[in-house]
Amino acid sequence: MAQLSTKIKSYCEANGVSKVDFLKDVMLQDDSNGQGAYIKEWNLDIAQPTAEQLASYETAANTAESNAQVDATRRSQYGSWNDQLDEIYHDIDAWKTRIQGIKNNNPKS
Amino acid sequence: MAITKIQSESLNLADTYDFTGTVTGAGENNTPIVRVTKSSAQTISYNTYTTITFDVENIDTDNAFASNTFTVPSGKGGKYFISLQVISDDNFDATLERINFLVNGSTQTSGNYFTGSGSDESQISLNTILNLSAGDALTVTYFTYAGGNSSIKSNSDHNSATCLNIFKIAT
Repeated sequence: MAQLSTKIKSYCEANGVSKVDFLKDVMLQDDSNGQGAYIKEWNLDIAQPTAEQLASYETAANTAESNAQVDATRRSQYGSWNDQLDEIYHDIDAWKTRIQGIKNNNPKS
Repeated sequence: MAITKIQSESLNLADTYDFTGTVTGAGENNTPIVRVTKSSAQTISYNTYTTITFDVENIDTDNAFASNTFTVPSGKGGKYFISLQVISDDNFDATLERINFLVNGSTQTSGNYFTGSGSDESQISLNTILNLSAGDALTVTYFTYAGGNSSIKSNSDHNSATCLNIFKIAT
């Protein structure tokens, strides 16, 4: 099941809000009582979504989370910018082959 | 018994007193005293202020801690010293970790830790003094911004990895 914040981001993107700040725009709370996370504050101009509206973004949010994990895995395998620049300086084709291999091994949805 | 410290019906405050018995009635009682920790790690969803759970009560003099909440007992209002240590592991690229003290659901004090890229273990501490009234409920929350879910470490990861200490210091 996708995170509440991911579903809210998908809902906001679909309604013209490209970026959500979860420190100011929307505050989510989980009281650790088994009830799960909920919207504590909604400070955006667009309407606060209903539970049914958020549920409709479940698939999109799952895809976004899966791709975020792939992005993180790829970045960790790319290595630092310093090392990559050194690779490019010595053999740019070998670097391109290595990067493409990482992308192929970690495909996005 | 010879009384040598009484001079002109008063104590000489510049003198030195070497008590060999028990002195009672002096100073204040610093209870309640609470120290709680965690027996298992807690997964925290990113972008969500989440109440930190504490299931191990090392010290709870007044039975004031229950259900992850410290409630000031009747007749125990006053100034409290509160100290929180959290050891967490943020998974890939969280940029900010924040811990908060809440009284009756309202944030009183926050502490931030700005993380680097990638997964890394961090220790965040937050200390404060709060003026609390009887019945006030104190909870602590953890927040991680963006990235992935975090894990709050427990006693099984490090000794007292995550702990909350509370005691009354004055009325």
